[in-house]
Amino acid sequence: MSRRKRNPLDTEEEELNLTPFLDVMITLIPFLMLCASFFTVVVLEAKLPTPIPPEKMQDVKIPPPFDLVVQVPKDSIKIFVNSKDPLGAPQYAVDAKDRTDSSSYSDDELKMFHKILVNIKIKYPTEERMALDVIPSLPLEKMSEILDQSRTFQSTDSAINLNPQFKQEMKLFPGLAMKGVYVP
Amino acid sequence: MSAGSGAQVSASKFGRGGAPSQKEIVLNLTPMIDLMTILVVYLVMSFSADPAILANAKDIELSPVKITTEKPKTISVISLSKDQLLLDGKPICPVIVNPKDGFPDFPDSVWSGFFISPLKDALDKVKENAEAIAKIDPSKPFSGEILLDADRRIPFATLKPVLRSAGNAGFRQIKIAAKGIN
Repeated sequence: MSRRKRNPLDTEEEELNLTPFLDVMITLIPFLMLCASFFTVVVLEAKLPTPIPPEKMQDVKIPPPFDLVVQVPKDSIKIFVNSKDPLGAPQYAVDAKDRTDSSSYSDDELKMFHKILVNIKIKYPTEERMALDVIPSLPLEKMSEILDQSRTFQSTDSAINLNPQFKQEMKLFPGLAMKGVYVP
Repeated sequence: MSAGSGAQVSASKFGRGGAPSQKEIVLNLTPMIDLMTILVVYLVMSFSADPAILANAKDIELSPVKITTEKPKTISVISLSKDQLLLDGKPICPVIVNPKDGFPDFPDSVWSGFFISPLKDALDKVKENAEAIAKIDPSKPFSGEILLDADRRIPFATLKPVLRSAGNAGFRQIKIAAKGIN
């Protein structure tokens, strides 16, 4: 057996073989891009009614000092503020036609609803509670839009300049409670 | 990664005038490898960051919202599509179509009064675990928060028993997952 001696002066460069690395990358990137979701997931808070223990019933004020109820039937959004008659005429209403082609509200309808809530907030700046009373057939998409519009001010709302607290906290009516979900 | 590595491409006839050239052209792969590495890291990070996306079933299309920017926390997730109800990715019960009103509904076998019994039982266990953790580590108290990851077309009538069951198990802070489009 002959043994070949390596010349220490041999200047041949050894190349790093990148082909397997590139193969893996080219497979991995399309796979990840196909699986990835390129949108931001946000959350809308909603509280369920909490039963009041019998011993604390004495402390409860009926009717509460501020009562904002947003009723959502099929073709409108009705807003009651401190109303004694929930079946009566609402103080504010947005005509929201039920479209068969799309389940979401139009931009104009949402803007009008938001504007009404901003005006109520100007009148009652310390209040944050709102009850949502929706019909059973209302899709979650519409409910989410209502919740979205009622939680915070928008940066374009001129009302945020009226009160320093509005500008600082940007809160509209974040204390949302869903009506019709009785939890014993 | 930025070492001067490259694949060699031999070019013997690239000289002007047809004279064979002995010069070797080296294809520099370094920028491509850098870019790919950054892209893979970004994509893998985007997968691991969002608990809602992890639990998001393929057939759930979230509702689009414009104003809200609050991000979800790592909490238990109820996923509700038109076919299935899941808790933290585990199937709870199928969703059927109610012949009376055409709304998605739950089979008769899972109802227990106003509640969906398997969901309530599973949530009770989640609460028990959370409370056990809170006893060991008081900095992590049971908050009663739950993320609802439901399809945008699901009507409120179908959501009601899910919300009731969650509320009855002690989860009264409902966080509805939505798609931020702003």
